[in-house]
Amino acid sequence: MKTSILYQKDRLETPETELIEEAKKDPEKFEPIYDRYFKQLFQFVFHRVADKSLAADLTSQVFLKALLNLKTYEHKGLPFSSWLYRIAINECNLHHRKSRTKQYVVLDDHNYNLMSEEMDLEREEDRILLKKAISKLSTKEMEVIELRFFESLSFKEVSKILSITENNAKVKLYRALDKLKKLMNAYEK
Amino acid sequence: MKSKYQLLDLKPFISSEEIEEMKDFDGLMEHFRQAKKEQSEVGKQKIIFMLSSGILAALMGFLYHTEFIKEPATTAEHSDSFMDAPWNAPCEVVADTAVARHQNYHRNVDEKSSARSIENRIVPTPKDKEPAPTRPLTNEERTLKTTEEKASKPIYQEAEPVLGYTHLYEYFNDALRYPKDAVHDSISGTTLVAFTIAEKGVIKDIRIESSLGKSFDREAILLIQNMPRWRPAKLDGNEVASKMRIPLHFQIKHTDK
Repeated sequence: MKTSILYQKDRLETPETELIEEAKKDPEKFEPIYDRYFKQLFQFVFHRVADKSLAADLTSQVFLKALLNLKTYEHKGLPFSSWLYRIAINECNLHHRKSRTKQYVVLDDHNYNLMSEEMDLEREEDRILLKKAISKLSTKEMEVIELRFFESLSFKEVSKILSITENNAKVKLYRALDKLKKLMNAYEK
Repeated sequence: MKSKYQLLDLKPFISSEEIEEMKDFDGLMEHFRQAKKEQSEVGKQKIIFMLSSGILAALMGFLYHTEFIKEPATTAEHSDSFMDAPWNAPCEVVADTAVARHQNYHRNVDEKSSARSIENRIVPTPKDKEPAPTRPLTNEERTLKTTEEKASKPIYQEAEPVLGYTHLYEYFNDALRYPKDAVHDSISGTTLVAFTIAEKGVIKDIRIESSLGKSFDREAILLIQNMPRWRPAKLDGNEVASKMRIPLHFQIKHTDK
């Protein structure tokens, strides 16, 4: 496991900016970036739509938009994936709006543990209450929770993806968690 | 509020192999080329649209310009009588200024001579008979050309007093006398005088278009006959006769009584 993380890190540290600069001149050179982020983005989209072919379409759309607008991309010390996440969130939201379908939120053991740790949830019934409370969150509140907990991104990345400041990202996250706690308390009573 | 989310207890499963299979960089490039092509076509259409709008705008501007220059010639050729509204407009501005100046000057007079009588009665003339306040004159211009211009874009130059309008207004101010025999009536008003400025700058065909009474008409005709010389109107450099219409404002001054 450790080796794979190190391997991934090594790959991330390869001169991504150079690859992007090359791809700006020749779109064919975009392939290494596509290979690097396809899985990550596909999974992100797939967890939201829970449909393989739809996820494939949406992911392809995300990379197409990234390619078409690559010239406007500026490297600001964050992985290229931050930009791709931003496009992916917009694409998914657009899809949900258009098709009037519900967004899927995965609250598996891994995700629940991350959240319960942050929110000091210890009881068994808390999971049911949390699920009930999550369904009342707004899209913006859900986005910040998803990116921070489910995608394990840094506040810096979250802030860039959501086009807000790092402090604002923190504030938004803790407000969302507060809201969840209040909702859970209300449901309990 | 309906929930926007469907909660899952487990991640929807997909194997890494399946994800790998979903990769299709060639397909992506195909879509990319197609999108680029569409973009460039839209770009071309935009350029064509902008160019055509530009050309259209330029053409309309050119046509408007041509029409604008032609207008005086057209009027000259087709109108045998008097000026129409557009010709009056620029002159009225000048006239208004002069009127304002003059009204200010004779404010006191206005206050004391407001009574008006319709009957003709003889009233003793005051000792000190000052000239009646004259009305600076608005002068309206209108021209009528007799020459037939064949040029496609005739250049028309309006008739104007040789010494300038300011001098002309001063003349009207000084020379316009309130008719003595009308003093008792305290009539004030405007007489509209029309006249023709012939090719040599000679004033002829003086007519009263709007009369205040015989004595006023006489005074007005006298005033026009003796006014400073005019430079005739020109059409493409050739002198042409033009018609003018000038309102003369008669207002009694308290010293006239």
